[in-house]
Amino acid sequence: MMALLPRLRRFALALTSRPSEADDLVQDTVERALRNLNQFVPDTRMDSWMFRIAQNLWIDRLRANKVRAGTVNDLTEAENVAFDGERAAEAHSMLATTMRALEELPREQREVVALVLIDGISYREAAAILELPIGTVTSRLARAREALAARVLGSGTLAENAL
Amino acid sequence: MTVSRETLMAFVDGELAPDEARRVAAEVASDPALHAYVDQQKQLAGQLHAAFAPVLEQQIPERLEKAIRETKVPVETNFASSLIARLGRIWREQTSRAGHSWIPAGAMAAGIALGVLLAGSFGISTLMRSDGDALIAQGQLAQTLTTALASDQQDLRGGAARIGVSFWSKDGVFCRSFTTQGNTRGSLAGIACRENGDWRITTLAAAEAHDSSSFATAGADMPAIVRGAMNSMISGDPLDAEQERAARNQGWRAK
Repeated sequence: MMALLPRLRRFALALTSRPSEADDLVQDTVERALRNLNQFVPDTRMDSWMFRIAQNLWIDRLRANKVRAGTVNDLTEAENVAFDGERAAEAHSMLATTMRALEELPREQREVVALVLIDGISYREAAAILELPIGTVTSRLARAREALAARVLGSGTLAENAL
Repeated sequence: MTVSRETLMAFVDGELAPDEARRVAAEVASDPALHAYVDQQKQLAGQLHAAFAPVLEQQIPERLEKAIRETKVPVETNFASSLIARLGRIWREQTSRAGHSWIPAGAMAAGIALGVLLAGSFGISTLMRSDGDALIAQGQLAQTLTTALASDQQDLRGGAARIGVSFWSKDGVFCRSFTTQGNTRGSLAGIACRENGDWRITTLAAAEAHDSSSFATAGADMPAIVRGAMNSMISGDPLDAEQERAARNQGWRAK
């Protein structure tokens, strides 16, 4: 479980866009996973199981409105630790730009992006984690990609118009 | 336009079957508009991945490690939890007494990953099953417990387990200590008692890896927790070779 923490933190950051919020979510996830360990099926993927717990907890938190107001600029609070050195500013701004773009997506699309594009999980596994038909995953991903292409690359419409 | 946007996306994400991927690659190569779109999508995926990559290198906050260390793992009774919680608990007890470990500290702190680890490392699920609250020997372990004699000094090579000592318990049933065939990380040792035609595992602990060609006297390499359990369970002395053979030939019938 320790070994999964870096990926879990990255996933949580992609969902929440806020470092402290992300670590709150990871902490809740770890605690819930350990307390419910009897529900983990041996020989299945623990990463998927924990991603699913994180995603469900995040939905709960959003519904309960426990998520405090904040902006991506809060990044400085935790990210500075990691981004020292000369490329810090660049890396920081790339992450901030990307997270800002993600933040504008509907939650359902962010989940898919976080799993497939950021973590590299397969469509099939992402569908299993999110408990969705695979077609729903691919259509959400397609919509998210269009929105992100415009925001992250700033040139999305050109190539799309050609299709 | 013969390629849908979703197909192109799946192509970029490496999700197409090889045949279809080749077909799409050919279309993309011959159509500048498709090519531009695919390039753009690759760039997008690359940037998202790259932007978040530094997060993986960050130091894990202490509070998360603490959460893993301190959250209580349930001791409940389906297969996964009973095995994992049991092993986790026994393991912690055992290592804190012996003051050594062969499992990375992180996994040990997790307590649980451990059970999974043990299960994976030792193929435990082929040797034991959960039956309600009990762990029952099965497969080769059950066979060894039923047929092998401690006095044979069975070689572990080719077998699933070696018998340490056979004894009558205070409850009037036969019990046998055993060590499973392990690997370089170690093996499992425990005590199984004959109940209703099954071998019920009453104690299980991690044991040191040992060289199957050089085991010494019966029980000498048993973890302290197993020896301790045996001392509290045993009635009289361990069976000698003749008594053990007789017990086996009579099907380990209780008194």
